[in-house]
Amino acid sequence: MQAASGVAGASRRRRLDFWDVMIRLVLVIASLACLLPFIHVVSKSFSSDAYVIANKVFLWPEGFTAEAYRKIFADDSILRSLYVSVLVTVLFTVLGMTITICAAYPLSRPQLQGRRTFTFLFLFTMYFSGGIIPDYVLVSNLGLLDSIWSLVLPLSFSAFNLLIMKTAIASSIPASLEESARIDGAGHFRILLSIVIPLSKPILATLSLFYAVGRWNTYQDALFYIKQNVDLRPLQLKLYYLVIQSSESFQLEATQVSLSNPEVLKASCVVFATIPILCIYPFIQKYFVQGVMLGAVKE
Amino acid sequence: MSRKRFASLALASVMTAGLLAACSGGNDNNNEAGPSGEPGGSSAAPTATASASAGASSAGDYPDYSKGFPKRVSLDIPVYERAFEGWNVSDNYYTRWIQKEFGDKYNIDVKFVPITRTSEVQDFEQLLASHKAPDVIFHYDMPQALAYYGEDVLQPLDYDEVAHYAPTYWKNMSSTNQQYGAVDGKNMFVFAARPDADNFVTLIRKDWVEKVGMKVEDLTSLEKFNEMLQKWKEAGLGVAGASLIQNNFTYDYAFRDWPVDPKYHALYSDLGVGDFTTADSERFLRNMNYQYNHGLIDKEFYLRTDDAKTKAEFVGGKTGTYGLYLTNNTDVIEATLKNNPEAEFAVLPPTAGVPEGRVPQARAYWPFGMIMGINYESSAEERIAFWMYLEWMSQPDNLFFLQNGVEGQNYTLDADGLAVKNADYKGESVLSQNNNKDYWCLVTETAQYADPAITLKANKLAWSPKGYEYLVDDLLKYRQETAQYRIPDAMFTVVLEKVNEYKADLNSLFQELYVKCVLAPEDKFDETYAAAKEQYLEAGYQEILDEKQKAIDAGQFR
Repeated sequence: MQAASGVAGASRRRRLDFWDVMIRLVLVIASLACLLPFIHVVSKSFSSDAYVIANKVFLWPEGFTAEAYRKIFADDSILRSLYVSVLVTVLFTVLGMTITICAAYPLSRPQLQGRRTFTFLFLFTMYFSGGIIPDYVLVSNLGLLDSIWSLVLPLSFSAFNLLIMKTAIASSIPASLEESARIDGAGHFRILLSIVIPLSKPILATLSLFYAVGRWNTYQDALFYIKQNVDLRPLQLKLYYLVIQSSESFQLEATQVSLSNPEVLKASCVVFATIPILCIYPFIQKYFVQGVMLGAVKE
Repeated sequence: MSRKRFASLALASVMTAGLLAACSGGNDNNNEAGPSGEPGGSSAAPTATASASAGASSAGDYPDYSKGFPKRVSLDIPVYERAFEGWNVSDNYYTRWIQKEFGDKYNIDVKFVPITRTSEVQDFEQLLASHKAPDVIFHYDMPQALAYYGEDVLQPLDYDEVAHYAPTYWKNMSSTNQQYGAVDGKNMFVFAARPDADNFVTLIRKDWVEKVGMKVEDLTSLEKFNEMLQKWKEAGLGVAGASLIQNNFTYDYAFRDWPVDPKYHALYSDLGVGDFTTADSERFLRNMNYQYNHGLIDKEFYLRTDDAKTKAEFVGGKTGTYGLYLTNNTDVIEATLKNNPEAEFAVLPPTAGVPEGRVPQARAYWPFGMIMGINYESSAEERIAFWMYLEWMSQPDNLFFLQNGVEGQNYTLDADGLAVKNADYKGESVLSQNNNKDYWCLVTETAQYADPAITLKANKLAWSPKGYEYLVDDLLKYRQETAQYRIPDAMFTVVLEKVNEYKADLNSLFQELYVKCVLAPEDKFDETYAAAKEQYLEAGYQEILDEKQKAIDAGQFR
């Protein structure tokens, strides 16, 4: 009996070891797949142009120089774009979270009449959306083109985030907690502000990050909506212009000067645009693994 | 319990659906960028307003605005956005200068609307769809300009009005405008001048040529060139550079018969559509197939889809030829030397691409640069303001200032009156990276002096990388020698609907088919090419040919 279980234990351990190795291998490959391109771009951004043009830079800078970064910090329009991006991201995240909380809390309460209908209405927008052209026409007709609100308002409500939030509140905040607050005389707003929000910090942090990263990385709406007012170009759009700026020759155009931006400058812009949002992550990460509700209530 | 399970199941399915939705249809999805602009543009493009042509009725009695407009006029001028580092296209020293010198004088608000150079059509269509398009719609390419005309987003023009408000401009450009500006019998376009100048050149590694015991001057024919490539291969030096042919189809001109039959030329020459089915094309493909199968050209030419990739091969010393617009600020020579210190450069003679017994034919530019039409929604005042703007910019002093900047800061005048650029100048009045061309391209395509000799000197200065002046001398010499073999494509005076319809599809089909033909084993070439030809004709090329033939028979081309 004992021997048998010993054998079983040993074989289980061996099997686990094999799968452990496999899992680690897959994890390493997956993380390298994310990391290597980034390192590649970073090393390009610190290399001298001649080697980058010849595709000789892989994971380590060749002919180290930080000249491109000096250029970026000397370029007002890039700094201006950084400011626009930060402003838009903050506005967007605050607005998005406010709307999401205000929709998620009532929908998570079982006593709300017709909540299935409301949920369905929100859900519906996830399956079917107007598409880009109606969106564009809408924004145009609302007079939002070339204004900062065209980047903040249209995407600020996400049904996907709402559903996550609703489920998180419903499952993590028991009705009894709310009832006890109600016995103490709290109204809905008091319950929301004093109980639901403080207890939902992890999900709030996670969704804020979703909103912020999503907004930070999106340039397509800006590409459509910000046309004439170049001062309102967010950083990603600026970057998009820099990177796609074609170095191909336009045959019909007399080209008297070389027009392409150096590859190094493009690479350093990519890094420059990525760093700010990377910096936020460590501060929010702790919430991803925190179980705030453990032991709060015994039923 | 079951309810809970249902809830979790529902949640799971919602999540999955959400993820799928994000993959396929989300607003942020990059993949949707392409098609969105076009339908928006065409659907929201009503026909030209009647008021537009009202001014065209009677010549002579034009209101006098020489003291300025009584009411402030807002003039929106498009300007190419090329994402130059540190350059704001719509607000800089020169836009402010234009406002001060021109706008304020005539009570006009000059506003510059950035148009992304690489997606200009999409930008224009979007702006047209939201009724925010600038007063001028421009493009370098006639077929696209005709496409705008076909969408009814341009208004007919009264050339007498242009001549009245812009006499200097009209004096310079009247014959071009009158010759090329009419479509379907209506005057639709005005043009900028295109002085005859071109700095496109193919560089060759001179040190390689000499290593295999040849001279650059020996490359008098394609056969000689291939022979040299063979020697390069045997010596282990490298191969000829090559890139994927796309968008600009002039690849087989050197394989065509000379002299040309104008009708044949009109039928088969189109920058936007490759004449894949002609015997000229076959000769071209056969040669390339030979070069490919004998390892004489870049084996992965079909992956070299943009200039940066072709350049990387040359700079890295893997290929020995590379075509570029030679400019004094090019980074190719310096970068190549850094990677291959022994490199020497020469201009590849144009004859090196021409089979024996043929001539180095090439496409000549049409004698105009920017093609401009007036937005159908622009008022008569806005239209007139634009003519006044052209007139103002046609004044040599204004043009010279826009092209060169402030004397003593941006440049100094030499003894000949030539503006010598101060390359290190970084002050307030710094010019854009391409010398403000995107502002003055409305009147001319390249900067010129009254004296052609000085223009030539200026061009040489602008084109010569330091220490490589001989490249420009050779470039000019070869250009002179081949001048007689350059003829412009025919221009049709009707909109070729089928060309617009099939151009994009044929473009990608061309890439697929020609690569297939080149990659085919030599003994399979005929078979592959015959099948590909069939497919190309069926995919719309036959319809294009029929349509063009009809226009040619009706004499609707120049």
